[in-house]
Amino acid sequence: MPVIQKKICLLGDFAVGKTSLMRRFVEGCFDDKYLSTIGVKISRRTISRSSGEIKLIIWDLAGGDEFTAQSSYLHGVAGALIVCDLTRLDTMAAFQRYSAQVHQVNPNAPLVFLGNKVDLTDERKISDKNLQAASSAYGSPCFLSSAKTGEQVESAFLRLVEELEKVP
Amino acid sequence: MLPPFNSEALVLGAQAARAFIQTHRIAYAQITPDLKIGLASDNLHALLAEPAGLSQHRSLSECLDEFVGAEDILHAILTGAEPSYSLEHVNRDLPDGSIMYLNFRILPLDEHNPSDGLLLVIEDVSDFDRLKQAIVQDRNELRLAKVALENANQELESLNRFKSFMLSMAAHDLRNAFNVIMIYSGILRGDPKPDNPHLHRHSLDMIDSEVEWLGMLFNNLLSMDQIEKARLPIQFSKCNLSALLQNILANLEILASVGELQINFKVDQEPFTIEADPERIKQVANNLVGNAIKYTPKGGRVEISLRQTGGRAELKVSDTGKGMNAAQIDHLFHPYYRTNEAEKSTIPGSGLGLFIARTLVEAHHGTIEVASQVGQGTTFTVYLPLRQPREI
Repeated sequence: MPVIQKKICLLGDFAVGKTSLMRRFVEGCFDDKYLSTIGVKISRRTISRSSGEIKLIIWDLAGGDEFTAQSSYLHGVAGALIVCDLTRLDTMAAFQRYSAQVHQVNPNAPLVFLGNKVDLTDERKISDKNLQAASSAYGSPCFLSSAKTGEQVESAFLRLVEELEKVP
Repeated sequence: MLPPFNSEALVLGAQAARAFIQTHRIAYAQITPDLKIGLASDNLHALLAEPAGLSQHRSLSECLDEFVGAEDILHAILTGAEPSYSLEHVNRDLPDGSIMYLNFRILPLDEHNPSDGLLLVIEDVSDFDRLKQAIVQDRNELRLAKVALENANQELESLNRFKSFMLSMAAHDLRNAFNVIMIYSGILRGDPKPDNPHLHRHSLDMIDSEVEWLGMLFNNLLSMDQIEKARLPIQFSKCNLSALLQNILANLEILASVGELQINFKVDQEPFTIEADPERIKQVANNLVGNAIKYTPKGGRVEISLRQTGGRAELKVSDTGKGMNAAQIDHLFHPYYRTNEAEKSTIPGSGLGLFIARTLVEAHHGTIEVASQVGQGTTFTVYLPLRQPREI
């Protein structure tokens, strides 16, 4: 079976949970402690598909101000997960900026939107409707995830893999 | 004419470069035109800390994940279309749990002949980046604290507005009720003659009805406070819903007689036992029936029915009042909502009754529905489980 390598990126404002989502997906664990990422942390996970194995090279990029200075990180990106924090309204406003940056490098890159921290129900500021409206503007799927509980994390990454397989 | 070859200068330059490389923890490797690793400095494996598989003649992207997908830009450097490619602040986990930060830079071995191959330079910038990370960490934590503070502030402002509103509403309703009581007690005091029994009776009825209303207002305000503090106590027990409703109707009889309303009550079984908090269900029914009585014009009809359907208790309260439109129904269960007509009327109301009724019904794992037509009347239907679900 052939092994295909695909570079995917996790993008979003600071402290939306990108690193936690990656750890949940790659290592299956979660740590409540917040550690700001500077630069990029690269992890990998191989997914078995009927067409063969896909080795995902996952780039967890620093959010917010740190990211804008380093657009070279996006070279060769095949697809991206764009993450917002459901408890912070302003983190959804950045969807457009991150989507544009990905499509500037690869116009065909599929995107998957994630509203993370869905477990914090009492603190939620972004509604399902708002999130769906933002993602449907790009014709992209969206998921309500929790890196803490693992809810929808696997589904979101696998959906991106499905979308990657559709790209010729 | 070429300058004279000076081997001493070359040796000196090489020694200086070696000293610089050792001081700055820099490693380097040659990348062949087919993007495979060629010659490399001795310290390359040590610097990367994870050298497994990093060997000569292997593809760069196979050895280093950092270069997966970078083939296009590397070819662009080989053709001279791009001068270089840099990746900065690449995180690598160390066995002790700390993070090493690396800068990667790829440039032509010979800028005049870029197709000859590339030079990969890797620099360990951990000392500088750890300081930077600490600054970014502090800044982000401050930003998060600011967001949390703003949210808390908004909640406090909202709570403050809520308290002010509640106080003014309560004051308004209390004043109205006390005014009515004072007027009629004044009438009774000024008319001590027992030969006007109708006026006497009417005054006492009005006072009783206002006292009843005040009781409901106090209960609602108390419940609102408990809902707000998320400590609404519910004590489930077996209760006879039919007897409870009949008791409420008896208490509201005076209010109904003031409005010259016809009250009908139908029940399909006796006793009608469900598992509920009798005090809370009494409050729900009081609010629904009390509203129906208050907002139904003189000579109207209020019908209450209780039956078992689909394993649930169904309580219906219908009136022949003015009814409501769809927009009004949308807001009906919001706290402090009163329709424009209700606001303009002299009928006292805090706008809390239906909000509280729904909260209490939901606390019983039930639902409340409303159907209304302008000019026809309104029907509230409450569904309650006969037995409360058991938590596992």
